[in-house]
Amino acid sequence: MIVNFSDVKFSYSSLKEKPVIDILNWSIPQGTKYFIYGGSGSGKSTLLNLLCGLKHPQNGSIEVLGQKLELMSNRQIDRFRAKNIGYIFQQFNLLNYFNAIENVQLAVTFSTSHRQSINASRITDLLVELGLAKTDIFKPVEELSVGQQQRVGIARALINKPKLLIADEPTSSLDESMRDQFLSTLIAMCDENKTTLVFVSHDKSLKKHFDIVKSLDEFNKQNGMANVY
Amino acid sequence: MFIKLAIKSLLYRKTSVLFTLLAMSMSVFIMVGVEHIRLQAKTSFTNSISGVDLIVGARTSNINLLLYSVFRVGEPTNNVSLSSYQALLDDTNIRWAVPIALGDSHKGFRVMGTTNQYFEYFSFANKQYLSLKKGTEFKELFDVVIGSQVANKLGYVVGDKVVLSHGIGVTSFTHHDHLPFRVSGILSATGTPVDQTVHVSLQGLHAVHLPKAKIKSVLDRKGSSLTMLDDFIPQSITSVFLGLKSRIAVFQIQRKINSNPNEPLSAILPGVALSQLWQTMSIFDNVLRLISLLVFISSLLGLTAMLCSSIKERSHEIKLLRMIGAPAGFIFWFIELEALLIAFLGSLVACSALSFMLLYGQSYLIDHYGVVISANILQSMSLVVSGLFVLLVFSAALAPALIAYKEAKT
Repeated sequence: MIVNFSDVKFSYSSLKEKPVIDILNWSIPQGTKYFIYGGSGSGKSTLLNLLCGLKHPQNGSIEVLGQKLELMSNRQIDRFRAKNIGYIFQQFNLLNYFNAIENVQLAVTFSTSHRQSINASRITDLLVELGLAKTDIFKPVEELSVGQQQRVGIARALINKPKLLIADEPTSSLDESMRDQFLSTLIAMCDENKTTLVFVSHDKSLKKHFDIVKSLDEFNKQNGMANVY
Repeated sequence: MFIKLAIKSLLYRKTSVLFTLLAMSMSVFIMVGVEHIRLQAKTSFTNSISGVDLIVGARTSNINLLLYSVFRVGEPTNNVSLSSYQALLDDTNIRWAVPIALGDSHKGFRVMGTTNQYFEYFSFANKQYLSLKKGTEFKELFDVVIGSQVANKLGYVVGDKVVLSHGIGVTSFTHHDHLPFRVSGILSATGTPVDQTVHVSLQGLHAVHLPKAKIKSVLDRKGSSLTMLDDFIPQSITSVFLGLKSRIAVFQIQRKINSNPNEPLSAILPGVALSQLWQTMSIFDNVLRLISLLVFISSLLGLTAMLCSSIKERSHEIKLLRMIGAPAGFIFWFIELEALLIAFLGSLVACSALSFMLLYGQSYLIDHYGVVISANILQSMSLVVSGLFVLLVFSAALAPALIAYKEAKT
């Protein structure tokens, strides 16, 4: 199991009776493509923040790659995240004032273990592999199309060869044809790197691409649904 | 990468950054400019006399005596009699005594009667002596030696005729035009009041105040060579510059002169009087510094406001940086670095502009105000001031940096 939640409770105000996240037992098997379905306000973002160690639960234990996050210092979690977790946002995946190559480089900078082994030509190769023209690589990212930007986002998320890739509604800003192209690229890249993919979306039509499909409500008690396990 | 990130992020928001930078440059320009000119003026001021151990004049205050004898500002209250001057000359402790007489003017410049010894003994700044750029000292009765600024402004060359005016106004109604003087020498620039002074011999100055017929009879009898003309030595002078054989005796001599039973005299130490005079100006001085500090603080607040408003629109950026592994502390230092970059760049612009302006304004300042301001502003900026500058900028960016830090934490 690459991710394991046990008895995790999280609420934004500790006085609040009902936690946003209340997961008794939940895990993601290594190497799978895991689809989490959830409507807006179901606690998807909170779940992902917990998974990345950006937020800490009031109760319970979260294990990622065999490491218990609650036993690590903030600084250790930051380094751990830089090294092991890739993340693709719904939008604003890139810094507008950097070009594609610099955006990917930035992710390398924060991952100390990869700083030496990854040079500019490797980044260029990856971007080309993802279908970007060489001329587009040095353009300010603002001048790229949304589809191109999302592909630079994939490159940024995968450059450090993370064990776990989290995608938070990455397709919602894309139209249908681009969406399928994006998904197949993403899944191919994950297969190539043997990366576990956690994909969160409200769009159920995407579920055919994934090994495991779960609704957040199935394992999060927050909305009053019974715990499956 | 860190610096590149900050620079590119500033460039991305160049309009608001540019105006903040301009405000910062302006305030640093004012602050450094005020400080530099203040220090330079002080140096220029304290450089106006050196090597003179005591100044003797009629009984008056330190500052008044200094003002009229060195800066030629204001009026002497009374004169020193010739006999007192001769008594000083006879004193074995005194190496030299140079008399000066004031009261006339030439086109707004003060005329000072003295002897050739003045050029030999008077020194300024770091024991620099006066030197003649052109011509000679006094040889004839009606010779004048002019300061460099007098020569520049009035366009005089050696040999030109000069008419003195009675009194000190620019427009005087009594001109000594029956007895024109001749420019015999022009002094090199000193950056002191000497530059604005018209020097004549004591005898010459006395002679123009005598009836024409008397002068003529003496000149006919003895010729106009200065050495022969004891007839024109005045009975009183304005003050005396003294040089002692040993500086250790200075207080003893001062006391002796101050308690002279024959005439009420004052002897002052020029250095002490100069610092007293400078202290009276220190309020003005401090007000200037305060104003420049306030201008600087207001520009810092502008920087704070600019950064604070930028944080809101950058929440995605912060979240992204956090997600790819940037620690929350990184976000804090990112904002601080941006502020320091703006401040550093602003100072660079300000200092270059100031140096440039001083370089080209120097000659104007010397010509019009007689102040020598060096263009090297670095000497006015101490390490302490630079450290304080960084500290102030750091504190100004503290609020936005903490807001960003909080944003990064949640």
